[in-house]
Amino acid sequence: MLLFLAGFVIIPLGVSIFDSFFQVSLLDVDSREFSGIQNYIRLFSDKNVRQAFLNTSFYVVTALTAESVLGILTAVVLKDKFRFRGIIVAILILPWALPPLVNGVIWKLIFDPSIGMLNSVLMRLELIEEPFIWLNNPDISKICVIIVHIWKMLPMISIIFMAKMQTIPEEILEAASLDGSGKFKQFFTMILPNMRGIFLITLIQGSIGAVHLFDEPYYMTGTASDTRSLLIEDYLIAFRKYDLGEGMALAMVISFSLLIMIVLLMILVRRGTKDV
Amino acid sequence: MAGCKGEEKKETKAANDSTQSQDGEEITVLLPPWYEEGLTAAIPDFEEKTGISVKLEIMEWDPLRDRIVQSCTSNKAPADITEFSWDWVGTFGAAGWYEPLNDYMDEDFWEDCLTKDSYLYEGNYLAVPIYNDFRMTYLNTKDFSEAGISEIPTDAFELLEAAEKIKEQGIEEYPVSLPLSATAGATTPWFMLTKSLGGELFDDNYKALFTEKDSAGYQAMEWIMKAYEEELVNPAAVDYQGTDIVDHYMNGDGSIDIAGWSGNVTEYFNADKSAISDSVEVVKVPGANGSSRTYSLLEGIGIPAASEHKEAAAEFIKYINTEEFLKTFFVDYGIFPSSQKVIDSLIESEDIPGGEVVSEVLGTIEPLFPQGAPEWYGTWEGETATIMNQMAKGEMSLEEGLKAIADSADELNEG
Amino acid sequence: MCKRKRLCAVIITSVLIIIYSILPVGWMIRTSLLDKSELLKSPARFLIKEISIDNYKQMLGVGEANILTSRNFKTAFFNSVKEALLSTLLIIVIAVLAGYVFARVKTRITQILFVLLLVTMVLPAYSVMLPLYRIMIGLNLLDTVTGVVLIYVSAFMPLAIWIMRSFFESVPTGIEESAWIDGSSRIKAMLLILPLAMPGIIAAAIISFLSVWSQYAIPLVFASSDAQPLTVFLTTLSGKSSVNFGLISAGGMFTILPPVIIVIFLNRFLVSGLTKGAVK
Repeated sequence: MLLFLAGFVIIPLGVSIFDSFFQVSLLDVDSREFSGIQNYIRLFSDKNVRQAFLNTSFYVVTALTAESVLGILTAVVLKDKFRFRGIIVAILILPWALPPLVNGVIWKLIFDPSIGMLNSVLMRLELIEEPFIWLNNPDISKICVIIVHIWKMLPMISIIFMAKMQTIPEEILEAASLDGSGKFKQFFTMILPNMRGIFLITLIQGSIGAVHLFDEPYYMTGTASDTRSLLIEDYLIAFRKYDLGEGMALAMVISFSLLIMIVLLMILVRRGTKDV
Repeated sequence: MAGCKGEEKKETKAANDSTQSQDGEEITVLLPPWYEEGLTAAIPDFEEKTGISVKLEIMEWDPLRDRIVQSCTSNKAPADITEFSWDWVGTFGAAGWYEPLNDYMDEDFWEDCLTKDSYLYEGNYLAVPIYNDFRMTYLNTKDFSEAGISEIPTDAFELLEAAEKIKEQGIEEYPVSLPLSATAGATTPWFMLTKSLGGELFDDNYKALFTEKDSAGYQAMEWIMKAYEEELVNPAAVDYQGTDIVDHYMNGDGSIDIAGWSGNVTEYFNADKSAISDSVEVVKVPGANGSSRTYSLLEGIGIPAASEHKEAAAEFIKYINTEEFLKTFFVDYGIFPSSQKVIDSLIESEDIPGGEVVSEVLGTIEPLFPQGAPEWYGTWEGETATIMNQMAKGEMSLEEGLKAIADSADELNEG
Repeated sequence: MCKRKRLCAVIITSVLIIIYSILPVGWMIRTSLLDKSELLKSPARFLIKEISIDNYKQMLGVGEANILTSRNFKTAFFNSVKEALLSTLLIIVIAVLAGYVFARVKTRITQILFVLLLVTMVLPAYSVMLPLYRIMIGLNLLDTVTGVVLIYVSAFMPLAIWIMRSFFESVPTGIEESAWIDGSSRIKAMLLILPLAMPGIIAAAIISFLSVWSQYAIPLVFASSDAQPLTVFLTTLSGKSSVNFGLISAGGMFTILPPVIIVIFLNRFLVSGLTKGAVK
C-alpha cells in the first residue's frame, strides 16, 4: 500500500509542488527557472481565476445547502420501513452510480434548447412559447450545472443520513412521543443532535465533490466564463496556456483551500456538539 | 539540417533490421474520429503492399492535442504519425517536436499541394496537409426564392438584409446558422468574415486591428452580433457548437450556413442524409465591394521527431496521398484534398457538387495569419470564443468584447 | 391521522424519487431509440412513433452496421470490464489488509498514516497528472491495462481502506483474542473474522468497481487507445461536423448497464457500505 502511495501519489505530488515555485512551460518541462511565489501572486491577480473561484464558491455553497436540506428530508421519509422501500432506495441510488460523463450526456439532452426534454415539456404545457435557453443563460447556467451535480450527489447523502437515523434507538423516540412532544420537536431535539457527526462526513464528501467539479460543466457549456469551475481554469492554464508552473500552483491552492475548509468544518461541527 | 540529423540517427539505429526493408515494422497513427472509417478501409491494402502494419488510434480533438503535448514534453512520440492542425505550427515548430518532411516527399508532390505553406516553419515543412478544411457559405436557395429574392447578394451586409426579409416573411424563423457557445468553433465565422470583408486580424507585430469602428474585424463582429440580436440566428446558438449547427442545418433549419465546412459539400448534397439536398447551393463567402476571401482550418499529418519508425511512417503518408486514395477519401468520407490535380479531376468527374464555385472559392483561400500563426493562437482562440459567448449573452458590449479580445492577444503576446 | 399523513409523505417521496432517477435516464433511452432525423425535430415529441434500434445494431455489429464502431465498442467494453475487475480485486486485497491493521493497531504512526491516506482523497487528479505521466512512460505502462489499473488502485484505495477499517472496528475483538491465545498468527486470526466482515468487503468492492467504471479524465490520458474504456470510447463517437446523439446515447446505455445491474441486485451492500464507513 505504501509503495502504491509513494509511487503514484506522493512522488508526483512532490514534483508538482516543486514545479509550482518555478516558471515552467509545458512545452519545455526541463528548463525551469525559480520564481518563488511569483506563480501564486499571478494567480490572485488573474481575473479569470477570480471568476472561477467565485463560480466554485457558488457551487460549493449551493451544493452543500441543497444536499443537506433535501438529504435530511428524503431520509426522514425513508427511514421507517414501508413496502417497496428496498426498491425505492435502489432507484434512488441510481444517479450516483452513473459515470459523470454519461450524466453530462443525459443532461445536455435534457437542457438542449430545441430538442431537449425540458423545453418540450414546458412548451407542451404552454408555460413557455419560445424555446428557453438553459445552459448558456447567464442568470441560470450556474444553477443548471449545480443541479446536475446535486442530482448525482444527493442520493448518496440521503442514504447516509437515512442509515444514521435508523441507528437512533427506537426507545428514545418512543419515550419522547410519550412525553407528548410532537413529531417536529422530536426531530429537532432527538434526531438532529445525533446527526452532527454524520453531517461532518456528508459535508466533507459534498465539498470534495463540488470543488472537484469538472466533467459536467466542461461537457455542458465548454469554457463559458460564467460556469467555469476552478478545475477547468486550472486545466486551461496548464494545458492550454502551457503554463505548468502556474497550473500546478493553482492545483495546490485548490487542494489546500479544500483541506482548510474541511478542517474548519470539523472545528465548527465539534464546537456545535459541545454547545448543546 | 535537423531533418538530416534525425535520419542519420535513425539509420544507425535501425541498421540491423533495415536489410529487411520495413517488412514487419509496425507504425501507429493518431488521428481524430473523422478519419477512422476512410483509413480503416484502406489499411489492409497498404499493409499488403508494404508489409508495414498500421495501428490506428482515434481520439477526440482536445484530448488528442493534450496527448501530443504531454508525450512530446516527455520526449516520447505520441505515435509515428499524428494529426497536425495548421495552428500548431508555431508552437510545435519552436519546440522542435516534429520531423521536417521536405525530403520525405518528392518535388512533384510539394508542387501539386495547394496548402503546403501553412506548414512551413523556418524553411521546413512540418506536416503534410490531409484535410483542406476551408470555409464556404452554403445557402438554401428555396428560402431565398420564396422570399422573392431572385439575385442572391454577394455583399455580407446585403445578405444580412436578405436574411431579415426571409425572417419577416416567416419563411424561416432563424435564417442564419452559426455557433456561439464557448467552444473553438464560435470564432470561425468571425475570422472568416474579417478576411472576406478585406481585413486582417493583426498587423505584423500582432497588434489587434479590429478595435477601430471602420475595420473589417469590427464590422465582421458587428455582423455576427447584429444577426444574433435581431434573432436572425437561433437564440439557442449560445448553446451550440459547430457540429450542432451542421446537424440542424442539414435537417432544414436555417437558410444561410455562413461558415460551412468544405467537407460538408458531400453531406449537404447527399439526399440520404440531408433534407435540403435539392435546394442547397454553395457560394463564395460574402464580402464587401465584390471581394471574397476565406481561410482554411487546415489539418495535416506529421511525424514526431521522437518516432522510431520515420521511414515506415513516410511510406504511409505517401500511400494516402496517392491520387486514387485522395479521391475515395473525398467522395466517400468528405475529406477535402489539397492536391490541385485531384481537385481538378474531381470537378471534371462532377464528384464535387457545385464544382465550379468550389474551384473559385479555392482561389480565395488565404492564410488566416499571413505573418505566421502565433504560438498563442490556440489559447487566444479559446478566450475569444468565451468572450464572443459573453457578448452574445449581453454580458459585454461590442466595444468591450473586442477590446477584451485585443487585450487578451496583447497579454499573450507579451507573456 | 398521523399514519395517513405519513403514508402520503411516503408515496409522494417515492413518486418524486422515481421521477428523479428514472426520467433523465429514460430520456436517454428515448434518444437512443431514435433515428437521427427524428431526433432533430423540435419541439421534441414524447411518444415516438417509430422506434429504431439501428443505434444498438451498430454498436453490436448486427446487420448492416459499421463494423468499425462495433469492434471498437467491444474492445472498449472488455477493457472497461477488465480494468474495473482487476482494480477492484487489487484494491480489496490491499484494503482488507490495511483496513485490518488500521482497525486493530492504533499507534501514533498508524493514525498519522491513516489521516495522510484520507488527505490524498482531497487532491484533484490534475495535480499529479503530469509527473505521473512521465512515471508511466518510464515504466513503459502508458496505454496498458496494467498501467491504468495501478493508477486506479492508488486513487481509490483510500476510500476502500476507510470502509474496511470501519467494518473491522465493528467486529468485536473477542474472536481474534481467543485465536491468539490458541497460538495462531495475526494473519490467521484476521482470516477468522473475514466472514464477519464479508458485507464490508462486498460493499467496498462495489464502490471501487463503480468508481473505476466511471472514470473519464484518468483513462483519457493514461489509457487513450489500446486500453481505452467505454467512457473514452463514447467521446470518440462524435464526428468532426456532426454529433450523433442517438449513437452516443446507445453507447451510454451500455455504459450504465453494469452500474444499473449492481444497483438492482446488490443495492443492500452498496447502502451498507456507503453508510457503515460514515456512521461509525
